[in-house]
Amino acid sequence: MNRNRKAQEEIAGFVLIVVIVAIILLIFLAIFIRKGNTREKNSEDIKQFLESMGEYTTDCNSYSSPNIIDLVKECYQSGDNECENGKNVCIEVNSSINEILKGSWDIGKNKLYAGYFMNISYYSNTTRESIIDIKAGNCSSGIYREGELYTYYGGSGQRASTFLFLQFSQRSTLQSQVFLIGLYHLKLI
Amino acid sequence: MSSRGQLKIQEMAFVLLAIMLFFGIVALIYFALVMNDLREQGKIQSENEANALVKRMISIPEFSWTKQCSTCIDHDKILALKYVELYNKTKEEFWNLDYLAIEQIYPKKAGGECMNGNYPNCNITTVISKKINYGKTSFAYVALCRWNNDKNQNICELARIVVSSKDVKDE
Repeated sequence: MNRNRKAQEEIAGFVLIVVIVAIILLIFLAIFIRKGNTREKNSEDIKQFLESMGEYTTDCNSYSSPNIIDLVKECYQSGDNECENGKNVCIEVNSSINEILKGSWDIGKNKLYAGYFMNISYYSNTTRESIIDIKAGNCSSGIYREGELYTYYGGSGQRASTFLFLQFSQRSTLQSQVFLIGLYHLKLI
Repeated sequence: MSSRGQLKIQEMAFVLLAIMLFFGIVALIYFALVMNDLREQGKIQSENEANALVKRMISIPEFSWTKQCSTCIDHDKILALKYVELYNKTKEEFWNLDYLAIEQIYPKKAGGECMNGNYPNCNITTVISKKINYGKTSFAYVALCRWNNDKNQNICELARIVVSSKDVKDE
């Protein structure tokens, strides 16, 4: 009788171990699958957005063309320059980019995106100088998309980097974004 | 004796349960990995097709602005294209598209669909719009450029080109 009881205990122990291992594996699996769908680096459409934004014509006519990309360069090289309307080039370009981001990405608690962060920096071989930093909303959770665009100028590896980080709301995922875009177009059609 | 037999049956049942559970989990992990990989591949394939289609549309002479700007398209040309009757009859077949439109993103304007009467104070220029069986829509951000008489200069605004083709299927 004692032997039977011992065998039963062993079997119960074995089943328990199998169940525990199974649960651990399932947790790992869930994390693995979830991770793949919630972060998107080097997003192609964000790059396109940044490239198109660079061509945007502002109201600031100065020495360079009034396009954002040229004004950012002018702000970096001669930050004291002024537009035709007397405003500082750097202030004007900062305000234009801010307005574009506000108008292009709808952020908020119940929106698809919770926040965004944008940085434009100039790099040489040894230094990095941040020209524009814009942040809005909440950018803290791990669900995001980001894209970076490099513009080369000068011969010795000098480049400007335009980086945009978009933070999804907690309840959003990349799938829900695709779904929303689908709905948006459906509505338009 | 019968109690021992019962124990053996119980033992076998537990072992069978454990084996099934084990193989079930292995199969689950395998299929999850395969499905994840397939989904990724499908997504990449679908994105590539959509991107290629949109890039092709941006670069065609009917849309392009200048060679120096790869994301710029000419709003004047697109509006003109909308009204070319000969094109209107054949362009669906020519481009094999169900839907083709340019949507203004920034700055937002008061007008809706772009027409000769309200241009350029409008938000959407629909070039092709078949009303049935749309394929998957895909889009690309573009700079929508035109000549501005008041400012006497070219100006570019932020927009996106939205394309739908039956050839580009959902993943």
